[in-house]
Amino acid sequence: MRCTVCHATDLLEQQRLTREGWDRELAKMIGWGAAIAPARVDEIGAYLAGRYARPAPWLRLGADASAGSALMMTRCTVCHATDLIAAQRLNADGWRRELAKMIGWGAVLSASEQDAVLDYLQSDASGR
Amino acid sequence: MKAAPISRRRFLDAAMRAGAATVIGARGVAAIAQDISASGPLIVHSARPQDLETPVQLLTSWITSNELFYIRSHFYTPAIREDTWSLRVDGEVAAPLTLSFDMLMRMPSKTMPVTLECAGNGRGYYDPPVAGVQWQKGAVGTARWTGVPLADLLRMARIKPTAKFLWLDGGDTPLGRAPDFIRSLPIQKALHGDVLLAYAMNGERLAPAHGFPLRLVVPGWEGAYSVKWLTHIAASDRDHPGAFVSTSYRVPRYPVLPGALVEVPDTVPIRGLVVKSIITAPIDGATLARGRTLTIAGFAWSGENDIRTVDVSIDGGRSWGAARLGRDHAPYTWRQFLFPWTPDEPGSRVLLARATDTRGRRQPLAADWNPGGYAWDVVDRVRVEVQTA
Repeated sequence: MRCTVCHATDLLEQQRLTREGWDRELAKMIGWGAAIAPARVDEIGAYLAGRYARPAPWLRLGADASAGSALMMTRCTVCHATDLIAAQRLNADGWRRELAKMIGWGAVLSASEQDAVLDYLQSDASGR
Repeated sequence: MKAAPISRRRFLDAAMRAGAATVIGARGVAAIAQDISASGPLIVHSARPQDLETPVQLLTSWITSNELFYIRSHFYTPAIREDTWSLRVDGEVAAPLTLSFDMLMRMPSKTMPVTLECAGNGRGYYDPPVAGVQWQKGAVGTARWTGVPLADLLRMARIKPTAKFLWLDGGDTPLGRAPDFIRSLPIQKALHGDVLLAYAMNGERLAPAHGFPLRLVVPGWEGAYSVKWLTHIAASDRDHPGAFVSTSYRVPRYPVLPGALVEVPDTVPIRGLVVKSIITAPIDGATLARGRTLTIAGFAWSGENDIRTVDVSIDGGRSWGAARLGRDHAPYTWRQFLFPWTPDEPGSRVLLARATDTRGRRQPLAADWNPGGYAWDVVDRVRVEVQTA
């Protein structure tokens, strides 16, 4: 109710933030005038993160200058989006097995390209 | 997805002009009925193919609304026209038949509530991690399904005694060189009167994401048997040799060391759902006021069996109390549990819930790790912070 004073809930519904993201947005909204008592901030942050949640991606994938990243963005996203990749929590062996399975299902990557992609996926793991 | 919702027609028109670049193989853009607009409150594990999970705190009622029901798909949602769709039944049957939707509608139907759960629900919790969709708790839901008993159709097709399995194929198309998604249902279960060829969900025709125009509902068994967009049932004297039967949806015969690689001959297919419960309130990380009574709530289920008790702990498992079970219950459905609690001490608390079914089977405290990350059934836990108000 303290939120819909200014805007409708569709602005909330389309967000796909982690708990940290929601905490930041809530702090910004309070700075802009949302009337939320300090004692309730944690409770509301937890509610928002649960209600409009997306699990934090395990990997911080993003376009960068590496060959592996470029290959992932083109050869892998033919079939599925990067969210499916970002959510995996695999070690080097695990990634090798998954990549082999994907190639079996039609992913196009030469041997050296496979090395580049594996390098990228393994190095970018946040290690949580 | 953060993309603003656009109409499906605009998307299809634009993609047609763009050519086949956005399309897999030469299937044609029209084959992709996937709704690319915002997924509402559901957690997006994969936008494409569509894998969406229900946030557990939104599972507040015994019947899950169609808008909140989780969505699992291996490939893209197909666009199927009811007037050109048909269901073929052949193989080990004396009278093979092809059913139109009109013909199906003329057969007697029934409505029953069934809880469906994805075999991979909870995969995100396994340690060491397992590749695949990292479902948490919400790949589960209960709806009232309306349809024709599969047994009636099999009688009509004069199923032969030689039929041991039904191979189930839907109208979804594999990506790249992935194998077609085909499942295999043992005949004893297939002949049970409660297996439904369902065309409605909570009184509404199935949405494309939920299997329009027809899906199977195999009550009490893991969700992958409930094949969506059903187009072909082939009765066979043997199990289907494809990957989604012979390799996937299987667990080791015996418990293995977490992280172990297991050869396929040492695995068995998953059939019925196991006893399990989830806490839906309070949510993990919630802050509670000391001295204010709240109800710890959730759902418990056990596939083809009923729930006998759900025990709840508010002190990390040191002590347990029996929860009250909800009034709504039916075979193959989950049961709500409710446990009023007045936190009297401040601090961080771990709440637990453990279900026991009518066969005496109880949830474990430790996980049975398996290479597919299936059948997570460990006692559920939620951490809350009790503060002085």
